[in-house]
Formats: sequence, structure tokens, C-alpha cells
Amino acid sequence: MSLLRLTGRAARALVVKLGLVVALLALWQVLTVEAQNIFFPTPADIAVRMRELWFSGPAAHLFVTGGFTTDVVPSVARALAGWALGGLVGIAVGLVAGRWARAQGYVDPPVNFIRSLPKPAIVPLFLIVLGANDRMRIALIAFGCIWPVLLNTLQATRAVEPTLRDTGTAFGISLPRQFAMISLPAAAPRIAAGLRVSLGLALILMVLSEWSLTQHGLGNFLLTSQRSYQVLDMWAAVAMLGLLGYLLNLAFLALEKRLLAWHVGFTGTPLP
Amino acid sequence: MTVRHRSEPRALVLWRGLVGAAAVAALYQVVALAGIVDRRLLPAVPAIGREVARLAVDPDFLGAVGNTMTAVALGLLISCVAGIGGGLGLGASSLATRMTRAPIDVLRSLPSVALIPLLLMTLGDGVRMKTVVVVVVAVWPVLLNTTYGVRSVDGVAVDAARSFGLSRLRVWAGVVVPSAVPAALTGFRIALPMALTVAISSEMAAGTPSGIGGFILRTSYRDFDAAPVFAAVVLAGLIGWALNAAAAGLGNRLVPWEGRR
Repeated sequence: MSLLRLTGRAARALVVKLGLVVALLALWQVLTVEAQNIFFPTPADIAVRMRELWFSGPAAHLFVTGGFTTDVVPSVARALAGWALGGLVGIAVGLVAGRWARAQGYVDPPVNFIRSLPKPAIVPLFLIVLGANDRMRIALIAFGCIWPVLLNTLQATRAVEPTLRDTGTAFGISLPRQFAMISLPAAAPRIAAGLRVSLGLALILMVLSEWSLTQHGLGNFLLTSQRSYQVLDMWAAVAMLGLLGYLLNLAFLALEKRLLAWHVGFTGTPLP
Repeated sequence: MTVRHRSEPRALVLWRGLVGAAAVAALYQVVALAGIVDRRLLPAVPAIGREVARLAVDPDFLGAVGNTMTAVALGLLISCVAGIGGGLGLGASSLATRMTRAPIDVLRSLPSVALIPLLLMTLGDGVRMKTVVVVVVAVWPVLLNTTYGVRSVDGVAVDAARSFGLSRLRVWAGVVVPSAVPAALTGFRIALPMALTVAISSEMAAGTPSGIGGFILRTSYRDFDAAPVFAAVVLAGLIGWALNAAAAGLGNRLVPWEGRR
């Protein structure tokens, strides 16, 4: 009886969680079958094409194809490397610059300006200065990822209870330890939010950086298939990018939940 | 972000900002002069400054700016209406929040620029395509932040309002919505630079000569002089910065209690 009720509850939870996704997918399938538009293949066709392109390899290769190794792996590696680099810089600068209220007037205008530079417009600059290589791509991704993290870290550090800071100073705790023991934990949820925004940005910049002068990567695959009117390949690439974005976000949320579990108990407020 | 305390004169604020900006410019000039990269590739600050002054009154560039900004403004307007409306609705019901979480996460995690080739193919390369690109990107931060704002309203405040006998509607209008405004504004301010970014991305992907992106692309192909490219990028940044400043000003006016702790 209780087992029945338990499975009933689990089924309900599953419907709540995934019901809308399934419904929307079904709607998409029906509409595209009806429309017969060459620009809009059915999701089933897209899924089959994705399998062909990337997931039909031998078992010894964990079922991934050679295409997976040339298209997907380098892209993800670039995105993650740039994200990690940009995130670290953003946190470090944000903690230090956010600590002093006086610095705000000097720091904010340049930060806001550089943050406002449209990143795609910088691609030609990075190309000119660093050349068309992985160093340039990772630098570009890192450059873009700094700002959401920096902004969130700055704001969170400034919002730290002055009492906490003054207590730290009164007890003679050294500045580096104050950053590590007071500012960082207090700002952690906002930093995590910034890192999450940056993760999405990293993928975007990854695609942008691969639009020019490379033979590898999903961004290159996407633009090549658009220019040669391989509509199905293009949709497969879009779906693959969506899948990657979703999985990366999921992984990040799981990590965040683990690392910030203490914060929920501490402040009594759930994470966003 | 640029919270100005009432006691501080405008000139002082401006002065500090200029000092900060000058420090960054000086840093750049040092790197440019250090010769780590070819000197011709990193134009000097005065050369960029001259180009900025020239482009700022160049009708060709201003037309490009107008073209891009039309799409950005339209896209942001649609995003705000949809994002704030949707966020308030979703935030009101925990069931709705849970049900829409997976589809929103899937859609949101799709890298926006991945959709540009697709939209180029189906909508062409005009303002309509750019507006759609902007909406596809800008709606999520507004929606998510508004939802988060509604959901993280102080439970004590709501209970207090209820116990004073306020109706559900009045609790919403008086407590929940005002507490969600800062979060919605944060979402808008996140969306703003993203909107400009993707609009320009779409112009560069399209390879069309329209808009700021098209202008930069054209300039960078035309000759080996890097100064105009840098100048156009700087001006694009100034536009983004002015937009952010305007949004911050709006924020200070709408929610003066935030950031003045």
C-alpha cells in the first residue's frame, strides 16, 4: 500500500518535472510533420542525424564517433578552460575591489565600460593581436566570462555585513584570511550565480570564436553546414549545443548544491 | 552599480570615474608600447581617440548604430513584457515553477549564437531577425530573476501583511511585487549587454554591411589600419555603457532602498 503510494508520488513528480518537455517535443514533431518545410526538419530526424554524426561509434570508443572527437571535444575543452580562467580572475578582482567602499568610484566606471564592450566586436581585435589559434579562443572566452562573475562578486562583497568585516579586523585576522573566511563564503551564492551565467556565455563565445579560421569544433561545423545548406546537420549542431549547455548547467547546479549546502542551513534561505 | 550617495557632488563622481578610466588606458598604452605584440596591431591611445572623435559624427557609423539599436530596443521591450509577466506568473505558483523548470533550462542553455544561422536562413538578415535573436537571449535573465525575486520574498513580511488582514491581491501588490522589482531590474541589466552583444553577433555572422557589427567587419577587412576597428569597438562599448548607466539610474529611482544600506 505504502509502496504503491510511493511510486504514485514518484510518477507524479516525474510528470511535473518532464511532462511539459515531452508535450512540447510532441507538439514540435506534429507541427514539423504537418508543415513539411525544408528549413524545419522533425525532431526525430534531427535526433537520428545526431546519432549518426556523433554517437554511433564502436563500444570500445564509448559509442562516440571520430566526428565527436573533432567537433565536440575541442569545443568543450576550450569553453571550460576559458570559463575557469575568467571565473578565477573575476572572483579574485571582485573580492579585492569589493572590499573597499572607497574604490567603488574608481573601479565601477572602467568595469562597466569594459563589460559593455560587445564581445563579438572584440573577436577581430583578438584575432589581430593573438592570431587564429586556441590561445586566442581561450583568451576570448575568458575575457567574456570575467564580467558576470566580477560584477556579482563585487556586489556581494560590498553587501557583506560591515559588522562581520569589522569583527575580522578587530580580531586582527590578516587580510588574505579575511577574504577566504569572511568575504568569500558570504559572497559565495552570488559568485555561483555569476559563474552560472558565465558558463552559458562561455559556450556562446566558444561558438563565436570558432566561426573564424578553424577546421575543428561545433561552431565551425554549425556555420559550415549553414553555408552549404545542410539544414539537418545545422539543426543537429544546434541541438548538440543545447544538449551541451543543458548538461553543463546541470553539472554546475549539482556541484553548487553540494558546495553551498551549508549556506541554506546558515541563512535559512534556499538557493535560487 | 554606480550608486551615488546624495552627499557626493557630481564632479567628484565624474573625477573618480575618469581617474579609473585613465588608469586602464595607461595600462593598455604600456602593453602596446612594451612590444609584446606588433606595434602596428595595437594602435596608440591618441590614435584611437582621434578615430573615436571622427566616427562619433560619421553619418555612416551613426546609421549603423541606429540600425542595431532599433533591433536591441524592440527586442528588449518584448523581452521585458514577456519576462516580467511570465516571471510574476511562474513565481506565484510553485507547481508552475517546477513544471516549467526543465523546458526553460533546456531553452535557456541553448547558446544563443547557435540560433543565428538558423534564423538567418528563415528570417533573412534584417531588423526582424535581429529582434528575434535579441528576444531569444534577453528574455531569460528577466524571467528567471523575476521568478527568483517573487520566490525569495521575505516570508515574515508576507505573513505579517496577511495577519493584518490584507487581501491576497493587496499582499501581492504591496509586498511581493515591490520585493521582486530589484531582482527584475537585475535581470534587465544582465539582459542589456547581452542584447547588444547578440545583435552585433548576428550582424557579423550574416556578413551583411548593416549595423555596428557589419561596420566593424567592413572596417577590419578594408585596410590594415587597426585604429578605426578599435575606435568602433570603443564606441560600441560606450553605447553599451550609456545603456547600463541609464538602467542603473532607473534602478536608483525605482528602488532607492537597494544598495543604500
